[in-house]
Amino acid sequence: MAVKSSVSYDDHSFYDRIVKRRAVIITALLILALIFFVLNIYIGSSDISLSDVFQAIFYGEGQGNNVMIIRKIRAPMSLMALAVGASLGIGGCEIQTILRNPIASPYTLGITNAATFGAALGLILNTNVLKVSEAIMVTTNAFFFALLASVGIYIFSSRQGSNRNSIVLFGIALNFLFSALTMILQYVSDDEDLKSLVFWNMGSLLKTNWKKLGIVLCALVFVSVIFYKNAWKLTAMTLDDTKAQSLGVNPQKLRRMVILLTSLITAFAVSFVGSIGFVGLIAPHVARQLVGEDQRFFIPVSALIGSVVVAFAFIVSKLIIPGVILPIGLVTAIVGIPVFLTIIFNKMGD
Amino acid sequence: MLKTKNLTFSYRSKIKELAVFKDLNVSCKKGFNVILGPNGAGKSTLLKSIFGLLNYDGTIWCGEGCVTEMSMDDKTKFMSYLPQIDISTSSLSVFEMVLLGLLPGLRQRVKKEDVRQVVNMLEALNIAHLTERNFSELSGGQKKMVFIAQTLVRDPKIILLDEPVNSLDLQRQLELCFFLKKIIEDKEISVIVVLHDINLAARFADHLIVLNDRGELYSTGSPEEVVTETMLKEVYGVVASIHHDAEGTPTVSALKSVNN
Amino acid sequence: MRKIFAMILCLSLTIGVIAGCSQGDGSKGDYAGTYEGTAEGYHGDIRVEVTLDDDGKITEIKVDENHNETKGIAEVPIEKIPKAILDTQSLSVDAVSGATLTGDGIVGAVADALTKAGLDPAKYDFTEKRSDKITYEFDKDALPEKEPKTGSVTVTDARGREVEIGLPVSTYAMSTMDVIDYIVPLIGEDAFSKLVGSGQDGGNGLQGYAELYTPIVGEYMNHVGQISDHNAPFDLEMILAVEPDVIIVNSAMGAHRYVMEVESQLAEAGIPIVLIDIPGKDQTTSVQDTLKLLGQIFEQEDKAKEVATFIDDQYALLESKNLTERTDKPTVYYEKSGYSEIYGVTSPSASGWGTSIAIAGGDNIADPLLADTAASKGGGSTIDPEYIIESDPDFIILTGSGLGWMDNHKGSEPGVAKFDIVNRTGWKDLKAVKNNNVYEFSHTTNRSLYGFQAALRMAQIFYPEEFKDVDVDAIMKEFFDKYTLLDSDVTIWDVRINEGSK
Repeated sequence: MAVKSSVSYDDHSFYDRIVKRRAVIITALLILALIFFVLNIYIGSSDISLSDVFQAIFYGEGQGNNVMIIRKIRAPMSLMALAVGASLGIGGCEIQTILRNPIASPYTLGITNAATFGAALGLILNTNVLKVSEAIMVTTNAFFFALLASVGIYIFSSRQGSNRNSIVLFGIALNFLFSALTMILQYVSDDEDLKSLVFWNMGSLLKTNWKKLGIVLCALVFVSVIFYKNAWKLTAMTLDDTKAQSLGVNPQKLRRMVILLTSLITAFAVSFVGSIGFVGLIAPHVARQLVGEDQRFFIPVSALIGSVVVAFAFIVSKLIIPGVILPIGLVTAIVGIPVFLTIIFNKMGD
Repeated sequence: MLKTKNLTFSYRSKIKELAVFKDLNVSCKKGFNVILGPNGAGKSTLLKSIFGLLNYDGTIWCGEGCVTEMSMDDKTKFMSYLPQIDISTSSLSVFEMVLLGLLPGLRQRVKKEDVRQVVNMLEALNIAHLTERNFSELSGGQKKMVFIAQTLVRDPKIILLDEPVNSLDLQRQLELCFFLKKIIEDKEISVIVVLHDINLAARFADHLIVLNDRGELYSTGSPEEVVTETMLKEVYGVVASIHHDAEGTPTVSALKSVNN
Repeated sequence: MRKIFAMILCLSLTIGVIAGCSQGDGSKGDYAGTYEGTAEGYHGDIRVEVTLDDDGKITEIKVDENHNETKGIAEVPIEKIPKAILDTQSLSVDAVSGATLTGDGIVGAVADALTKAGLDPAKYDFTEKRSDKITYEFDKDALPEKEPKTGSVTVTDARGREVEIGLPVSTYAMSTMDVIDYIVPLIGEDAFSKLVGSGQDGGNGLQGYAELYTPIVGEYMNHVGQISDHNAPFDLEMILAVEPDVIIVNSAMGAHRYVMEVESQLAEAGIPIVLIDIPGKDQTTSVQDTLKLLGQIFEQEDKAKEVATFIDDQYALLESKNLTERTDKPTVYYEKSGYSEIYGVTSPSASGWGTSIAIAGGDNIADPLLADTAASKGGGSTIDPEYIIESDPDFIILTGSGLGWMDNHKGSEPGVAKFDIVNRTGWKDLKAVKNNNVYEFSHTTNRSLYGFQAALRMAQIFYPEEFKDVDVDAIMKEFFDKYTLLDSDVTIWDVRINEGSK
């Protein structure tokens, strides 16, 4: 007979223990995100004391430009860091789930490269795809092409016989296509435009305003709610397709839905902030180590880790050269990669 | 309990059509049903068709009505299915894995009864000690047990198991069969199992269904009726001797292939 | 597309003119009266009324107001050319740069009117336009003849290399077309007739210069081989095919690395490489140094000195006002962007536009942040937006959202979006925005031959009192008239927010 475990599973206290531990992790991450948020609002080139910061936030009072700086510049940017981090975290988490591939990310589907191409069209050729005002041309171009790539993948994944491998391959094809197109533009561009494109690609939170933040938040909330409602079905996606089907899940349908929704939040995040996609890879990875793949916890923890990483990177980007804001994508990668490698090496050591 | 009527299925590709079975009429009874047959007879295909994972022609009926016309959601309420091959590499815990078996009724907040049900199932199958282990760290046999637990936890009326004893050790094979026997008696349900081990089938089955390599129903009935030297020769292509124990349960010793 | 369009236009112009000329007998007689003539301009026909006296002297030229020529561009020739014809009684008048086709159209129309009056336009020095069409087709047979070498000169180039060059230099090639801006002041139109090869730049400079200069100096592109792509290795075969006496490469761009890759092969073929440095390390001297170096090569040292002195004078003028020592410097923020959504980089006093701002006596708000960092050297950095608001600069200088030397001919609308940047959060309340002290400059000016314009103009903007007697436009006009083939209003130099271009 099998060895009896010393733990008794007669009551469900062991389950409460697991849930409690995960709740603690989520709470800790929430607190961390909040701390980083406050730090982001506090840190800036103009010296504003913490009490003045709170004064400005809650009462709208303060000396000189303080209120405007806090409310209109720092607050939306700090929130955007959290929102974009969460979007990419959730996007990565779900893409990895439906493709059952721990190294997939929204990048894998070619969305970011498509957005870069759109931006390049605007920056280098002055092409205004959606005929919007020149000022927001680059952003809308990026969004248009990100969405175009998403629709492409969606249609492809709706085809009969498409599976997770063919979707990854299609994504790789899109990636190469759009980077080749971007390279053609780079080839004909002059140095100044090229530099603008490089800067765009490095990502920046500076373009944030309340309106854009609202859009990103709406998309994020909408998508999160749908994902959370389907948490158990998504959890079943970690099994293979037949197994998932035997549990009453339609894997093709779920996969299509996830592709559409993650594309949407990634497209918003990338076109407003530029490419900081590395987050989409590491956030779910760390989340998996912490809470496993039960999507009820996997989704919020991926989102929170994404937020924390981007918020932390934003703090660092403001501190390296005071008064200068380094591109957020650059810092995310620099800050994120050591963390990522540490996790991988620790795992190998086990 | 469960009947197929003119069940026809073929795998289609652009160039050819490969018929698996044609106008198959099979009926399963309450209790322990075992489907026997050589490789490629369409045993797994039959189970998949019953669960509705394939698009077949013909109809399938059971006590609940016409299975063919039911939605997946409705079917999963009383039926559950264990696929033969599973390459899942999930890093869920065993508990979560089995919990997924309750999927159609799971809510965001897991109910106490659900937890109790999972724990009971794990204990019944003697794998309670694995409860908090990570699924991906288990051995092949342990994984199989977890999948069986996942299939049975839902308390279904019809259980479809595709080669459940594969990669299980002898002890576990017997334990599983006795467990199935027990729930059949307790809950008056049907279990339809695909097996390769004729002796195991003969010992536990109430009702045997034999398919030949052309996907036709060769014979059906109790083990004593079905397991004969002629059947073994015509269906499996082996020369065998059959002994009957005191209870009349046949035991097969395969001697050689008819080709030798 | 524009090329073809221009070609067709030029062709039809020529045909029109020839057709106009074919009539008439040139006999003497009573010519008094008013005659109508038409010829093709840039956008359709231009009609003129020419009044002659008995002897065929032109007494009045009226250009029909109903023409389709580009506003702004066409006004200059319509005003200048008839006057020039009346003054000189000759149809051989200098074209007005940037509006050559309109100018030619007027001349052609006058010639047409003269023909109708029974006069031979040739008697009024009318010649068919030299450039029948602008071709960019390279034709080896069109290469200029090489003169035999009679001597040599050894120069020290911008990288300290000693280079021996055979004289006289009768053909040359260069890394990008903008180098020719430095050669034109020395040898005028010969800069084009001696040119046999140039590399392409990111802004399609080969075509841009051809469109600008072909109407002025005649076809030259047929003997100019493209010796490299934008930021790409040199096409050694093309260089050897056009065999320049010297190849002049701007070392500030990536081109110098590529040219050094083929140095040994070029040395074998006897083609020396001269590296120049524009924009150089010191804005106030590098242009002059480059001119002097080129002066040695083209045996125009006196001319080079003259041009250099002119530029020296401008910086001397700035220095005489002791701007850099002032304690009441206005604060200035610079950014390379014009849009609220695109966060461009700034330059501290040590680099790029920051240098011009420093010379003009501006207190760059980026200096406290970037003065001691690596970022102060090469590229630039994006500044924390709230720092700009806190600093509340007196002036905001922008570049790079469209205004660039050569790509904004007079008449091209600066457009409202150019100052979209003031829509950034909090900018409406900035002093600079409230007082309309936001300026856009032509981005490439500060690293061109005309860099002094930016410094002078900014100084005038920062210290209007000190510079009330200085007329920057007049200085530019003088410089262009004296040393270039163009008019100073060929491009838009700077624009103030809520105001027209200057």
